[in-house]
Amino acid sequence: MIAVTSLRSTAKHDTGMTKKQDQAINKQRISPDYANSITGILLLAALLSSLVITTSRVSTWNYNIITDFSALLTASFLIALTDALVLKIFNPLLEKLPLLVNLISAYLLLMVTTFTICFALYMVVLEHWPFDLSGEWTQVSLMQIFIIGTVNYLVVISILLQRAKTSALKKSFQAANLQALQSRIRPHFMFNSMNSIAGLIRNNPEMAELALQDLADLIRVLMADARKLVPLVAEIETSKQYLKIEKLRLGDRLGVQWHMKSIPKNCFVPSLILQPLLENAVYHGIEPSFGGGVIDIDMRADENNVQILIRNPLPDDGVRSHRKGNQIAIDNIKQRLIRHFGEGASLSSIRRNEMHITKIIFPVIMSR
Amino acid sequence: MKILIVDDESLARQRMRDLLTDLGGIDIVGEAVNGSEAIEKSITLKPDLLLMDIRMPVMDGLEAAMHLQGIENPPMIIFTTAYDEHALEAFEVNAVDYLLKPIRKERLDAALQKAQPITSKQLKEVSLAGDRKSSRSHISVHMRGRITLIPVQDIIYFIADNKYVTVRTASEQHLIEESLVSLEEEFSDRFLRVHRSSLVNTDYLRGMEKNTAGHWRVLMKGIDEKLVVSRRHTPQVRRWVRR
Repeated sequence: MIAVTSLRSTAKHDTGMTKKQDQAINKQRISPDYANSITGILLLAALLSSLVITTSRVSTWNYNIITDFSALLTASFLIALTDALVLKIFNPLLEKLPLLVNLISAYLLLMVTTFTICFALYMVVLEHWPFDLSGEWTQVSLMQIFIIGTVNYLVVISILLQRAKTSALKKSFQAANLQALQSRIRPHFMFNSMNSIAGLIRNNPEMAELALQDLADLIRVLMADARKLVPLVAEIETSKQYLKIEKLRLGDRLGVQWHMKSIPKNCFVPSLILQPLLENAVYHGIEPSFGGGVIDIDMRADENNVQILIRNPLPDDGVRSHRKGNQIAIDNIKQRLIRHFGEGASLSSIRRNEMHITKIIFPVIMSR
Repeated sequence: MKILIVDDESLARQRMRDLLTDLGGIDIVGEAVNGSEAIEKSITLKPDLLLMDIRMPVMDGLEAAMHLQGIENPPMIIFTTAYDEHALEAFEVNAVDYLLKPIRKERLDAALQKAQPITSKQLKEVSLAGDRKSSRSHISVHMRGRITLIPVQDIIYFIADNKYVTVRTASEQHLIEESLVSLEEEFSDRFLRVHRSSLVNTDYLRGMEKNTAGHWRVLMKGIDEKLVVSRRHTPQVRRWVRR
């Protein structure tokens, strides 16, 4: 079990990890938390109101109203607390069930409990109370209890589900923020670049100065609001600066070819649509390969659309498997393209003849 | 102290050289650009210590360190890395020393002063810390103090025979002391069990045929030899061949 964990663990940090988080979000199960303290209160409120309303509709209303009300209050208290207790006890079990089964089981549990308590109260307690309930209880009886139980259940469930959804949403939002941050900066790249610059300072101070400026510009763009639009030429400049830093690290292993044809000067794009793709190309295509390779960027435009093709070689089979794809970064770019340009924009990639080719198309928009 | 510098980035190697020169009293015996070269040079140059980057093409630092445990008097190793959040936690826990880039001279000095041999157990713990299933890029064959590294993608099959496992490539055959079960587990994404005693690299699977006795056998690319498929494994193998 010897391993190449380093590759993987870093890859994990950059990509796999966020992927895992993503899956966690997708899989994150929404289930009502019956153990929540609100259960008892809600049940109580719901029960109280429905019991009071139901009783008020009983036509033979002929005994002391205070005694009657306190009897009902006591009864509903007991029912509510028992219901809450039962749900609380079964919560760990219910949590494991699929949502629908969970809801149905909870409903059945609640109904059985409600019926049992009502029946027990009727049999044991109410008979001995100083008023006659016989007529009403049998008439009110089953159907009424059933309706009360169901109404209570629906109220409780809808509120608890709403809460569960909100908290799931909050979690996924936090994770998404983290992903956005991590997919923007590969720490491995950042610290290796700083190490390169530290080395250059004594041997080639001028080159170190240039590299530091490039790195600073790159960090500035990475830290800026990714939602804003930038001129395409600025995005190209950022990409070139990025590749210059990589070239410093990787030396002859990294070759870059730019082909640009009639790129409109004042065309605007979402920031960071190109640089992360080039970073992927270096990370997957060049770094893991012993001999390196050439990244080829072909950019052309007609009156309506800009098309960018990024080609990078795929490394040997032996190493490829150790670096996982950065789907998050790709999805992120795709989303931003579509948000800005609508369905006219696209991002796709294919593997052909040991090459990985990424294609971006978006309409030319001249001003903000 | 004789030191071998291992890093795939030339500026990183240069900087390490500068720092070591500043410290003085150190004999830099050479440089290597990946794990595989580090092993070769460790055998020929016999350094006392390797300053080795973790993430490198061909073979990474951790795997190289593992293979190096098999040679006589393995060198001490201090790992260097720019960033490896998860691996580094395991390094701390298992007291394996490492240097973070950009490397500080004082920190390098301190690490060299207290350098100690790493054990296989420590390396294993560290390697597994990535929590993901990890597999070697090479299999190492140890013979009379020498190491032969076989890239896993070149291996056509493993066959277990008593204590040893035969490793077969298109041109060579070696014996290693490993268990077929652990090999199967480690390379499950690439190798397929066709028989109680054999694993075949799925990249080399060419087809199946029935011999006169009615037993299924697999055909593989690059070699004429055919391996017997046990009844139990026939359905899986057939599924693979059909792909």
